[in-house]
Amino acid sequence: MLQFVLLLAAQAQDPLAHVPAADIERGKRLYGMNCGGCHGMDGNGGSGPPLTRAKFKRAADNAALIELITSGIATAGMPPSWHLLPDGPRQIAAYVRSLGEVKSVPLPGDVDRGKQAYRSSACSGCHIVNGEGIGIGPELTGIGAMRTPASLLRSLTHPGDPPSPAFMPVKVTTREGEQLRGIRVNEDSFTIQIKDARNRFHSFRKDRLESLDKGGSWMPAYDKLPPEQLQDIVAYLATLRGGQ
Amino acid sequence: MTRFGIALLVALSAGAQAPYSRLVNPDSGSWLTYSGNYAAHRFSPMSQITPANVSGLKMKWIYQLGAEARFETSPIVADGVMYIAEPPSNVTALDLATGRRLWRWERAMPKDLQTIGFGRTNRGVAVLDDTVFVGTLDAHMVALDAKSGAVRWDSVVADYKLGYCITAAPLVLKDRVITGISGGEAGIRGFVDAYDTKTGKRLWRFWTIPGPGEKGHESWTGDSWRTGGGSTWVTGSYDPELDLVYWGVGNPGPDWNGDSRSGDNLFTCSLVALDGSTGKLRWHFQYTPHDTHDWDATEIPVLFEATVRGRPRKVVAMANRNAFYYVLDRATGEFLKGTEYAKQTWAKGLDDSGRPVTIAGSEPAEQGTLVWPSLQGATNWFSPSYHPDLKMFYVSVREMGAYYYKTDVEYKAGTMFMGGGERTLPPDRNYGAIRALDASTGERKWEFRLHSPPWAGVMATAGGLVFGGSNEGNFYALDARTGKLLWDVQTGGEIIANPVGFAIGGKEHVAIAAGQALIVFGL
Repeated sequence: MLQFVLLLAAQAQDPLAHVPAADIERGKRLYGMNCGGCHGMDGNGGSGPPLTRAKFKRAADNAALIELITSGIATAGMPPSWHLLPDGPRQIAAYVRSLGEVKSVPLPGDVDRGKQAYRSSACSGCHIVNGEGIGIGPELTGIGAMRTPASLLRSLTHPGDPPSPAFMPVKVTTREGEQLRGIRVNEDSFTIQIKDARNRFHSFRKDRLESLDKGGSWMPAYDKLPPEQLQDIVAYLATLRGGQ
Repeated sequence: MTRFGIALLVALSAGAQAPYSRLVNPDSGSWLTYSGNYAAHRFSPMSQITPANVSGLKMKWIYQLGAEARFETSPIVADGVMYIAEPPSNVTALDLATGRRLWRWERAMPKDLQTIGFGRTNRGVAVLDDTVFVGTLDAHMVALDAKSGAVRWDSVVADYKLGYCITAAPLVLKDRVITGISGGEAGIRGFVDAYDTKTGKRLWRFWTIPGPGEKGHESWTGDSWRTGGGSTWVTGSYDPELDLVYWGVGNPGPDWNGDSRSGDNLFTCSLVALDGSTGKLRWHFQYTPHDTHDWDATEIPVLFEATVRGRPRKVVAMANRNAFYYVLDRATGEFLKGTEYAKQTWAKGLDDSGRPVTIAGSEPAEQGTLVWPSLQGATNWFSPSYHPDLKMFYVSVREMGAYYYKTDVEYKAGTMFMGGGERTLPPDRNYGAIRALDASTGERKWEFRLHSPPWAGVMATAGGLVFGGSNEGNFYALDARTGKLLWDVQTGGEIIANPVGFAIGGKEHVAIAAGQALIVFGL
């Protein structure tokens, strides 16, 4: 009973707990007029940071997000939205939340069979889920909250397409003929830092390289798996919503 | 006269640091105006650092802001003192030899101040005689005693509550301080102002959006001119012989939805040549008529002499945000030459008068329209550089496309007035470059590629170098003749500033703001 009461109290305190669709739609319009110029019309960022994420560094919860939108961030050049009070900041916040939200939807695949297929396909040889596996590939503990089922399916059948700037495979050949494959961890105009398959870091000056190739993927394409099994794996991955 | 009396006299005489005559003919060891000289060359005439010895460049001192802020200052250096602007609108004088602070003037910002469409920053101060001038984010022009930072006068330029701000360094000439204004995303009506350097009294104002009865007013529909934008947020240049001030004018408002403002929308996205004494418009040239891509023409207008279209002329050149490089006769405004210097997909080219021949379907749309360059342009506020010996124009280039969107828009005083936005392409599809152009033709001579589209300007030197910075914190020197990389260092902070050059004890140094630090390098 106490737990139920606490749950109700928490919901009452969440200003975005029950936002009508019309408010989100109005938030979208206000976002386009006030926010999209810097954060990108799709929320993927521009001169301001991307908003297509479930958590924000500067706003711990929904109340804080509304306050941030209302007051702006002076040091970062984000103007306040006092002129949109009383409802505008809350409506924008609701729309912004929808940008980073991958909703749980019924999927055709079977989660348990997908988990089995994930194991039998040796996915954990490269990916970590809840601390299990080897981390050469991207961490998957919260992947279901970040990627849509369609995007997950695409990554299984066409890995690396489109390429992810945050996980860019590279191959370098030094002038001395040394070759190295790895994942780019940082890069500037003159140097590049790479993590190899054994999780060791390497740093190169670009003017000491014979060649520097980016793109592709280390992950094999699973496009030959039966479609049902692919759907099972997607269903399993979509349940992974922790960590973040 | 006693020894004390002589010492006092020397100290007092040191007060007149930078008279107008010195700004007209700056000495090589100083950096007296925002762009280094009135012609806006951002060129250091010092030649001790060369391609042969630049690899020995070392850090000499670092000045730390001590706070998270956008540090975009371009220092002024005169008589052993460096004057810098610090965000939001503070001014600090540093001992040039050590970087130790001599004084700081702090400007408290009103609680309800907003910067609509840009960060809280200030790009520099101006110095004339013994006075330092700074424009503030709350849209005042303030004169400070160069020896103490004490306020001499403080004049209101505009009402910050309507979105007016000052981020640009002022331009001082004769007895007047010229300033532009920011706020182009808030539906302001832009202007260029002149204030008396002694009293702070406003001497003239040139409205960039002409009112009823004024030339150019017919290029606006209805009341759209009242909120037409036309900000002037980057420092202009000056020709003392012609007594003409050259100032770039920003985009029309609302930025991406031009439905309510059909017409060319003069004098937005234009260069205006103003009489320095009266502020009267001598001529204008509009680069992007009826802009809907936020391509301000607030890039630096660079003055030099060149033989174009068959005869030697005094010209003004601009690498415009719209991806074309323009050369104009600076006495008349006549269009002489226009050349693409970066990828663009919005114009077939320029006609004989310099007007763009636009490509249908490149306007922002509800579904998005992919266009090069992005709304930040092929270049932006950061400075280009002109090398008078090599006759080359160096520019930091942003090779980046974006989907442009158009949305509803309604004006409400002191709020965003934009009507759309952009979605940029993924980072690895974009890149940056330093390009060297033949200054009189715009023909590309060389290119040095950068990892990402930069936010830092360049400075060429008589020693044959071009200094620049990167988003990833690299500060570097290229061979001015070939573009070959000669030296680079990782500063640890994003560089969104312009380099300057000067002497400490007769020895050449260069300075750059990086992250929250100002770093001075020398041999």
